[in-house]
Amino acid sequence: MSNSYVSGSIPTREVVAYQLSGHLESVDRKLVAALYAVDALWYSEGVKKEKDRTILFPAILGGVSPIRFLVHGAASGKDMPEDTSTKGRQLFTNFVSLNLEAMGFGGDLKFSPRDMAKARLPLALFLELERLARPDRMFEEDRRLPADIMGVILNNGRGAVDEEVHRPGVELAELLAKLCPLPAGSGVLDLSCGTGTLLAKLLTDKENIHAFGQEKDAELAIISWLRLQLHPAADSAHVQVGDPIKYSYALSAKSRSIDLVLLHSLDLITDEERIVSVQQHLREMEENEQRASRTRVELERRHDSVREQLGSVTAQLVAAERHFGASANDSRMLTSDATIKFRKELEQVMHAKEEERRDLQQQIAASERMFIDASRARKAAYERSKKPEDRTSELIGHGLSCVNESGLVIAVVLARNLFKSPQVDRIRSQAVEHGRLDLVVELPRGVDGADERVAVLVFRKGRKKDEPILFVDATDHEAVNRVARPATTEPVFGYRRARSAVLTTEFFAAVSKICLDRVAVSGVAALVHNSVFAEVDGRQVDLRPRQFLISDRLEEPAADHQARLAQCHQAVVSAEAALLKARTKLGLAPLFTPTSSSKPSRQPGN
Amino acid sequence: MKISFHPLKTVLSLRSGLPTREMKKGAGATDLVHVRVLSPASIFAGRVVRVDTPLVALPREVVARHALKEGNVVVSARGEFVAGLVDVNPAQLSGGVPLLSGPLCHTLSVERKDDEDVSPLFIAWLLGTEYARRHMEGASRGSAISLYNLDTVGSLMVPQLSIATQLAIAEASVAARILRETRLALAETENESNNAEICRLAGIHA
Repeated sequence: MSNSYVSGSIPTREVVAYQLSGHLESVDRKLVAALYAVDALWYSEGVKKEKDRTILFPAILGGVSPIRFLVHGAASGKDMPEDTSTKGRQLFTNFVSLNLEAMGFGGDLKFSPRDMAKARLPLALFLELERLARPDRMFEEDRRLPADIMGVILNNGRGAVDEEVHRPGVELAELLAKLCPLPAGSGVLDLSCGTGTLLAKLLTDKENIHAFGQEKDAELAIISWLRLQLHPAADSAHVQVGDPIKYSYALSAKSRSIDLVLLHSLDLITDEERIVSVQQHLREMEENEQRASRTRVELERRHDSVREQLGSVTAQLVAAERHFGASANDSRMLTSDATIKFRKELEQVMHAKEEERRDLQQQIAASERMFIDASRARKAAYERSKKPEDRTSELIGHGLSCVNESGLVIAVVLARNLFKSPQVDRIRSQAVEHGRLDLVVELPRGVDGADERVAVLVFRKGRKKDEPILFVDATDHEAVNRVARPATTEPVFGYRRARSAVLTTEFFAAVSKICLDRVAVSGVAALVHNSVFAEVDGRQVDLRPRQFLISDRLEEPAADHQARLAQCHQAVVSAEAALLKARTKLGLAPLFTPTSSSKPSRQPGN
Repeated sequence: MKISFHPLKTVLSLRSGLPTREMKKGAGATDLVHVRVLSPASIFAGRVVRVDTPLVALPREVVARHALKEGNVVVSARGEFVAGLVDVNPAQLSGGVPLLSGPLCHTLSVERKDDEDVSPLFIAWLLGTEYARRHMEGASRGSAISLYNLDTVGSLMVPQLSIATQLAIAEASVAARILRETRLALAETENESNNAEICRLAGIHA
């Protein structure tokens, strides 16, 4: 057994992860992680002083650490697990409200805790946390440990928070970390930081990094802020809540130099959701327009009818006037009550009809306006549905505007962005016009739980336009692993492997090695010049790595094919001989006529 | 020639794989070892092939109980019945760390019992035959997913053959497997060469 795997060399983080695994299954991990972080910050107040910050703690603690405070209540028998959960939540809420200014959560975005009335926090969990990972001891052992332990609480084993919110897995985070060397003093911004896992991974083995994060979910943003506060490599840590474009770091990019922007899980499902919602909106707008049109037609019909009635009443009145004029000498007629009444009635009807006509005219005008508005909205919705918002390229553009003149933008996107218009056109324009696209890696299906293939795009500002772009096709895990283990002799023929057996640390290490070496590898990576993207026969070349590798294989010399065929042929001959010999030993007759041991007569390529 | 049969459990030792609860419980252990845990997905054509599952830290005593050794035969405990021989040092299959039989497996250790030698290669071949598969299907429990407990596996009747015959049978089975694999490789290479030539004719270039 290799020494590097025996006990003692296993990191404390993993020992704690193993010990806590049984306790974290049915608790609110976010709350436990937040409480542990507050506890660690409470201890760290006496340990560190290089970070420029003022953190306030709720007065209710009364001089004891937050977890000890909860343990006291539970151990004295006063608090049941539900009460401990409520107290813990209150403690966390108070802590957040006291430190909102330090966290920088401005604007109209306020933190409101989730309803966790039935949540439980058992005493055993806190006792175990204190026994295994009390922050003061962790700080003494290694300054990075409390942030690591927070990561363990959040993401160890089944029910990991990062899995729920589509944040990068450990392996992909390591790959991304390897792609971006960060010298001391650099600034890094994660536009969808989640629980801060990716930022924490990037900060590993780094020093004096200025970490920035943005996150839509207020609770995750707070957890991410706490995690960065605990990380010794983070010289400063700022997290903003809200949409990355609306609440933009780009606005203050000059004062806060950012060397690296990360875009992960660019709303892996939201793009789809947005298209569906735009189409739904279009359907609603069409219905509104039809409704308005129907109402207008109905009102016009009624208006015509009232006008006809009014015309008829007016005609009756004129006829009556004429009749009264003709018989003016007849005093009986003039004084007749019936005549006066009839005339008054006609006048009243005429007035009523006139009013009704005016009302209808007003309603028609209103409905006309409504129809015009609905029609306009329908047209706008139609335009939007034709061109669904492309947030991926928008965010990439936004990331590029955030970084400094030699900064990197690393984007994890769905692989369809590599070939699907109009997304690919925008990414290609970054490659062709601005010369910023540096690396494209297509990963297999299943990375980070995405049903589709995922790609990593790296953009670098300030690179020369004529530098080749590295395209890596990592969808064939066997080809990638062969790069890592060229001497492997294990025959692998046509059997499927589970995703867990494909997306291993070794696989991602091999991918990162290929990316960092920046050399063409047969069947896996190719260096491609910008000129390839020129329009050919009216067809634009897309960004899928595979197309640049296929030519490699097609142009494989015929001699290589011949050699491989001969090798396989010889292997079959030997295997047949071995089987015949084994059967002879058992006294069995030959199953087949042995293949001739001569080389195949046909010469490939001839 | 009349061949006698004995139940499998009388000719070798059977043991269940690592229980799931052992992977979850902390139990205060601090003496941990990194291992990989084997599942039936890593059994292919009668052999245990390379295991790429993530590393897991487990207490040393648990590892000692469930670590696989060269010559062990691993069978599935549920689902499709498969059996594979660990024909090399297990550390070679798991990247240098101990390899443990997982919760979905049983381990068969071939030991000398009743003064008879038993070849693990022979047992692995026997468990991969239609004869063994039918026995397991018939004796298994479970309606939706077949479950093979140790009794089910142990009740398979094994022909009592001389060690020379066992080894000859094993040799023939291994040779047949290798022939199958090499023929597949030849067919794939021929297909690839053919496609390459056709593509060149069709002028397909990126």
